[in-house]
Amino acid sequence: MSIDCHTYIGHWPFRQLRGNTPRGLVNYMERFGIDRSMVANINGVFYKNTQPANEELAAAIKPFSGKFIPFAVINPSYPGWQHDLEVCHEQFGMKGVRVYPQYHDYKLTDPRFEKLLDAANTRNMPVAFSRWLEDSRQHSWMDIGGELSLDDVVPVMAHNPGTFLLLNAYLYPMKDEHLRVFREARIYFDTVNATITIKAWSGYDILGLMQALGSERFLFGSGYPFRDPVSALVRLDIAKELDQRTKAAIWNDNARRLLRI
Amino acid sequence: MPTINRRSFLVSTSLPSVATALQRPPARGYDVLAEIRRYRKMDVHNHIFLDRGVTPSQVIAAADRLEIQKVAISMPRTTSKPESATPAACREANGFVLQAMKDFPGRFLGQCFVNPYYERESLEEITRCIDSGMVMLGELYTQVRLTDPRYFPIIEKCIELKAPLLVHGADARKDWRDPERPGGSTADDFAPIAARYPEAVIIYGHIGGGGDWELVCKALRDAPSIYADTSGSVTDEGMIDFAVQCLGVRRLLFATDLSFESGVAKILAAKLTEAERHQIFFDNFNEILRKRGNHVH
Repeated sequence: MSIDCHTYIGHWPFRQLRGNTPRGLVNYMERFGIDRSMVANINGVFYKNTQPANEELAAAIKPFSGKFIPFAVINPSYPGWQHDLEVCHEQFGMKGVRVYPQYHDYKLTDPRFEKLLDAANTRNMPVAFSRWLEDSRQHSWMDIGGELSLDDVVPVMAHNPGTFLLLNAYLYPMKDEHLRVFREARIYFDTVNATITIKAWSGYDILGLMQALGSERFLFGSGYPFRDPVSALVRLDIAKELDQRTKAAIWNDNARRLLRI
Repeated sequence: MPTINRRSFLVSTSLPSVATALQRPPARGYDVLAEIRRYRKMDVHNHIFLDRGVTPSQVIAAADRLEIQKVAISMPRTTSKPESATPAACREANGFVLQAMKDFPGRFLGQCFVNPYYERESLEEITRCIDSGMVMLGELYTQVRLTDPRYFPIIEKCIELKAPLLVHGADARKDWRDPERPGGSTADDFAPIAARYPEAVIIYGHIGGGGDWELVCKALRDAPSIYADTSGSVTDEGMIDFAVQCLGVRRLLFATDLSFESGVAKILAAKLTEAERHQIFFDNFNEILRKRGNHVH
């Protein structure tokens, strides 16, 4: 069993994406031997009321039973999100939440966001952040161009140590003060933007981070269809330092533990 | 959570075979390591940065993991004031590259770094570096813009020596209409210089370097003598396919610019034939090197 913790369907307004449908994702998964994908709908980034995006996702993946682990896009600054979360969890069977504070225009210190963390935690739903969807150096003039830094996320973890967090595309730049908080938090990382060769500007040294935090914090993630589907595969397969057991856990067990499935 | 140390997850031969079998990573139809091994590779854009802890031995170790046979390296002075990269600083950087070539014979292709702001010293340094075994110029940085007349003697020297010229593509910016560094050469600078010097071999550095790669590829479409390297930390799905669509396979050169894993992966991920991958990974650059007899047999 292999699980990709970081995929999307939906429309990205600033660049054409390929494979951004359930069928497209399944094609990717079959080509590269992925059994299941955690998926959210990009449209929820742009809808003020995100719930129709979650409804779209639930309907779109229905024909592909067992292939997807859906995540709800929730905006805690918009009224009615509590009801949306309940529907997503109880009716749609969604297993986690993805938040986009950059796009939904709230700070992570917003008390409404803390309420979302509490609600998600009560339902055993991890909350996932993305550092960015598009590299800010190449963003469209209509896009916000900002990125969520680890400095933004660290206080959230410090104040909510019980919440399960999944950070997508986040291994850069990592500071010692981040590591101190991460050690005490229920935090997981995907393998997008990591590097195992040279720690220059392509990301944090993933092996060093595993040494500091434990390899059980890492999940295989591709970022597809934003990112190419092979980089994350290469990263894991050339990591001779990781034994088979550790790789198997990154492919599967760590994700199952995060999702409690 | 318990932490592990690097040694504890080193490949262990002491694990019972049954337990190991139960914990194997999932079998996949796509064999990444076989795909990596399938192609000879020459990296046209890479670096050592002794001042930032990126050493020749680290670069070779990373290249070995990805089965990259030859790596073209420079040590650019990444300052942007025109006068800031002094001739002495350039000579020192090139000295480190020459030393790396000696320390790892046959693995590094030397790239001479100069600042066109200093014309006389740059021309002397190019002669010194090429005479010492370097094969090209690179990665010329953002001190002087490619269309600045101070660049012309440098390009003419490259033509005389049949030496390729790799120039930093400075399209990474917060707003594509507003260059971050006045001395940085954007894709719009490469096209007119190609028209002025069609016989020069000029390489646009890193279409995946954080600039708008669609803009870059479209801007370079009608400048057929300009090559583009595929390096940079950006691994957007479809980037290489779009570059092929705009520029053609022949004008694309594999490179990593220190993003080793994704540098190789983005070529493997592209919708290319095996022959096209061979061209990008190796053959295109080798043809360029052939002009001065520096090609690999």
